[in-house]
Order: sequence, then C-alpha cells, then structure tokens
Amino acid sequence: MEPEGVVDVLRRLLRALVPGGVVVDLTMAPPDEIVESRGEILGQLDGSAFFPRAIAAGAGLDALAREGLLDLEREEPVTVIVRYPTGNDVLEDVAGRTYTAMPSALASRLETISAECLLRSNCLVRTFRSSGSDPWGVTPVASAG
Amino acid sequence: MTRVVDAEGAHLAAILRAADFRDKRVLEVGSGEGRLTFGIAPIAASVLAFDPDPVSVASARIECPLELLDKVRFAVARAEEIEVEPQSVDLVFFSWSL
Repeated sequence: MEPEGVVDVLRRLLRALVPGGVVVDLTMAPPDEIVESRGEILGQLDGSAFFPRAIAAGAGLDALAREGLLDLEREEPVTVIVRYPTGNDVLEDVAGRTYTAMPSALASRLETISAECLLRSNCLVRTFRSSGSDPWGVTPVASAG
Repeated sequence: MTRVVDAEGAHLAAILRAADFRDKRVLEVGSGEGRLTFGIAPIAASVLAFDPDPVSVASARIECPLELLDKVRFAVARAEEIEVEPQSVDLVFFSWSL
C-alpha cells in the first residue's frame, strides 16, 4: 500500500468489518533482515526503502486507534526464517523484490556460497478490535420525520 | 529457486495466537502465494484473500488444497482497489510481509 492516504484506505477497508470485529496486522519491522550461512552472519539486506512503507501501514492503524475506532489488544514480535539451498537462491529471491535492496558486498559473498543460507526477518503481529457499534459509519443515519 | 519460508511454523503460530480465527469470515489483505491463508482457512468459516501480484495469486489458486476450495477465494487487487460488502467479515488480516 502506498504510504500516502493510508488512513483513508484502511478506513474504507475496515468498513467490511462487523462492529467488534478483529484486525490482525502482520508487518516486518526493523532492523534489516540478516543473512546467515553455517552459523555465520554474512550481512544485512537494505530495507531503507521498504520499512517506511511498512511503518506507514502500521501508523495508519495507530491513527485509527487514536481516533477511538480501534483498540490495540496485543502485540507480539516474531522472528521468521527463510531457508535457501545456496547463496545464489537468496540473490534471485531478493532481486524479485521491489523495495528491498541487496548490498553489493553481501551479493559478492553470497555468489560464492553453495551451502544453505538463512534469511532472518523481524515481524510484529498486532491485534486490534473495532470499537463502538458502528465505528466506520456504515449504518445510514435515519432522516428526521 | 527453492526457498522454504518459516519451516519452524513461527509465523503461522504467532498469527493463530493473535486472534481466534475459528468460524470467522476473514478478509486477508496481502495473501501472496497463500502460505498463511492455507494455515488459517481450515479453522475459519471463509477467507477472501487479495494480493496485488497476479503471479502470486495464480500460484495460490493452484496450490490451494482441495478441501479448502469451498471456503477460500483468491483475487488480484491492491489494497486501494478492494471492494467488500460493509460489515460482511468478522476479521481483517493485513499481511504486508514475506
């Protein structure tokens, strides 16, 4: 989702939710993803273009919570590991991403690694609950008379 | 290229701890190739899953287990484009990652 207008997009999407419904938000969180092989840290990906977008989506939910439309019920950090047969498989996968870059020094190292590589990502899982009887203004207001 | 995402199941386990998906009508935004969709669908009432990448959605449709076909629907759309009936789902699941 584009950072611009994120609150409006969220507000429109959440009209699909019944009153008291639940929102689960899963997003990647800084620091940058770590690449490892054989227990050795090889380097970090460059998420400087990605994280502002991820943070914007989370901030959009925070903004709705400040408006009283959502209540934050819980949050939990979780580490997710992606396994690749070789370093070149990491390179191929990251090359297909739009907002995450591969530092050249790390790419050079990965090209030489034929052993399994791991990508370690930090994620945050948050749970919100929609508050009020009609927080998104779905129910038409009855006209007087 | 072969990759194995979250072989340990930490991701799905955290999602299932985050909320009670049982018998819920779920709207999933950012379903990718359906990895988490296939984890929550068995206990949910239904999952309407959107992703902007048509290749990922095509893969999800192909990989969807037969027993989930009647309760999972995948569609291509960016978050900005999704149209869903008001107050028609119990749980919205945003997955912006991986």
